[in-house]
Amino acid sequence: MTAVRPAVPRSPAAPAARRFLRNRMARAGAVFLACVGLLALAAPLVAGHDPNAVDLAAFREPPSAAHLLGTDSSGRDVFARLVHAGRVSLLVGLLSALAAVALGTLLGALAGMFGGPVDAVVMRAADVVLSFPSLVVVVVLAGVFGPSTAMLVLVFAAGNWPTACRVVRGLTLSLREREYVQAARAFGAGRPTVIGRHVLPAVLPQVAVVGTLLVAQLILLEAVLSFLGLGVQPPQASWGNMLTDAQNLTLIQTMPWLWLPPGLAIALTVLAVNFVGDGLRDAVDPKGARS
Amino acid sequence: MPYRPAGAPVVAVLMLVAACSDPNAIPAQGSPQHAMHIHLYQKPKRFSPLDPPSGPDQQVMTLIFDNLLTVDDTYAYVPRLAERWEVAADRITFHLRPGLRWSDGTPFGSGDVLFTYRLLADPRSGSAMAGKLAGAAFEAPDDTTFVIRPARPNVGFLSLLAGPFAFILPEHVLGRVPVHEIAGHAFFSAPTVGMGPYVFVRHKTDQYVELAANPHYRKPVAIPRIFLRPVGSDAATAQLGTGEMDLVQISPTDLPVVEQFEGVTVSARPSPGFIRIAVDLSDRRFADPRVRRAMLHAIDREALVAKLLAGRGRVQNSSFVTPWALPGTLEEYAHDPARARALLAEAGWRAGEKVTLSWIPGQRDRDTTATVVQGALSAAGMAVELRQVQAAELLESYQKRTFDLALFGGGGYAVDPSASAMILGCTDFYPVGGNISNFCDTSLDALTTRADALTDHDRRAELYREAARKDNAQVPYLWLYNPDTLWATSARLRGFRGGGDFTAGFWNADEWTLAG
Repeated sequence: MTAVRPAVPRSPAAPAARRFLRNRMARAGAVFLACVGLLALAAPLVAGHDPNAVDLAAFREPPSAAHLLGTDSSGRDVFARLVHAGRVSLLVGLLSALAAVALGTLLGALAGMFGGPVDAVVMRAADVVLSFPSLVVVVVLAGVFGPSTAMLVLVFAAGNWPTACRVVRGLTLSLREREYVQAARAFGAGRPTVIGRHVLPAVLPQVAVVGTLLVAQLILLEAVLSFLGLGVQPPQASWGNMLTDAQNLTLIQTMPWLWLPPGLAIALTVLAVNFVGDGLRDAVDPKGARS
Repeated sequence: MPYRPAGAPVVAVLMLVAACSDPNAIPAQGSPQHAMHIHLYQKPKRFSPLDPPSGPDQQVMTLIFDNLLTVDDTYAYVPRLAERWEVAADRITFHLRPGLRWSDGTPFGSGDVLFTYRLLADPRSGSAMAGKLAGAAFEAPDDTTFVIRPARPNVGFLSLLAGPFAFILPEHVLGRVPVHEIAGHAFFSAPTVGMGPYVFVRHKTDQYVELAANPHYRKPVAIPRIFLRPVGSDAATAQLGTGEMDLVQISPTDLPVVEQFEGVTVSARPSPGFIRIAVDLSDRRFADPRVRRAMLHAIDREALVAKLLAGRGRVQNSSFVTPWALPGTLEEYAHDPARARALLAEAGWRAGEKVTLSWIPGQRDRDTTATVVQGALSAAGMAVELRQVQAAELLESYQKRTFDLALFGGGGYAVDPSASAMILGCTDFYPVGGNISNFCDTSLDALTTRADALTDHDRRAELYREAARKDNAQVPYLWLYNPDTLWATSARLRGFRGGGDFTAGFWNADEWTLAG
């Protein structure tokens, strides 16, 4: 007599996780991001110096045991500023991407599920938002309200929700025709219930991909705006304004410790986020990856 | 999902650096070799001799307007529209050059000078010189003679007129404008008629000011076209290296790099002014002199000079610069953070009280100074917030007294101490005068008034020294440093003789030539 094992339902997350872990670049990106995240979280412990402590006696010192990455034109420790700046950059990137994705997902699901005028209003609003260059909007708002980290997060979120919204709308249009969704509707489930119970869990993997790539985009945008003086304000460090401080011929030619660390931090972090995003995309949509 | 290439961030940063180094689109006629490119350290607003002094505006006005006299690179008086003058106890008589013409060909005469000085002395015109000229009488007995009778005898009066200000305006253009409307007149945005060696062509906001040689100037002008471009000092220095700039005011810390540029010459002169922080004394928090003294003790000004200026400057401890007006010893307010904290505690300063430090960004020395001062004052117990502002916003905050601390520099105080009295006087509050801190000490005013009425130099010096001691004790400004002004000129620019006053560096523009 042969024993029959009961069938164990397999979660789609497990093969996706396996596919993600098989992707070497995604793995490397995730490890790098984990390191950056840990450094940022532990910044006060690992920095060794106050990132804003001015010490003219240590004016533009090259890297040494006392100052691992040297000091800047105000005698501030570059390593301390770099790790504290990482907090700002990651915070702005993550928070604004999270807010943008949350808003976009909600609106996209509503538009897809309700259709008709709701769909039209949401999608036209998305078109309008996409037609505004976010850089110009930030410049205007920075002039009106003054540049700040909170302003960056709000503007980034307000300007980037349409990406997630469009993806989620498309998926919802498809999902709502599925039999299990129609069955739920036939049993009396309202549209909000269907969105909460069936649509959101189903779109989550795709939304995660959108969100991850958005993080990279927004970290870069924050760096650009801070570089232009419209983002994080001194003395608070961000990778962008550290580059601004180093934008000088003497510093570029003779003091690479002032511009190389923030430049590499931006480049490598954005690269890592992109690798993770691509890995996630390939993991949740293997057909798309193969094609 | 669009794929973002790995090099995108680096490329973006490089593109930004490149964009920042050359943001100004110069029109086609600017590209020929015979156009000269000058760095403006800040953005100009408009070009009115009536407006409160603003460095970049003054630099442009020096080229398109002219005044009776100015000072050269050694701070000696130089004749301009007046070929000579006579100073008496109660009057100054100017003899104008005959046969001069405005840039539009209209004959120039003492009537234009009379018209201008009446405007400058009239507070209804919005003139920032109204305080200096208050009560003075003006006459034009003939077409080439102009007489000023100061309200009170003042042997230093001539120094108040010599520099990048008191530019003569065309009566035939502005004579019919009601005096109360003249300050806002469109002429000052595009002053196409002047007596300077160059004529205003256009001002592309945030990009450049274009000037052309004045065909009616009193002697031939060699450079046909000039572009003045407001870019950051770092970008301007880089452009000097690439040949895109001919004249740049550089930071001392860039000197080793600039000296390696082929053909570039650097000249250095002590500034007749100084970098300082105005403290709004109409704000009760700063009324106690111990608070201001504490701030000076908190800032390591010796280190600022040694590091930030690479030793090319001096710590300043007075609002007076003229050497003979300074006593042998003054309180030096040495760097002493403990003393700073103690003084603040004595004065009842609430630890962590928020204070804003405003400044116009774009000059490396000042930008770093702002950061250093912020760090130093914060360490002493003041929660200092940095606030980067544009020129118009800063000037408005002076007028409305909405600033706490304002970092700025300049001024021409080396020729005569009466110029310093204009930043301290109880009747010289901004915008009537240059007293931005809203400081008032009637006993100090009495000393300077008495001194200016004397012709005995020694006695005058004695009174000014006493005034300087009072000034030093009360700290109306946070004096930081008196920097050397470093001018870097390209290989092709000849004849430039810039002085220490960066706003007056273009005083001999009619002698400049471009080689090649």
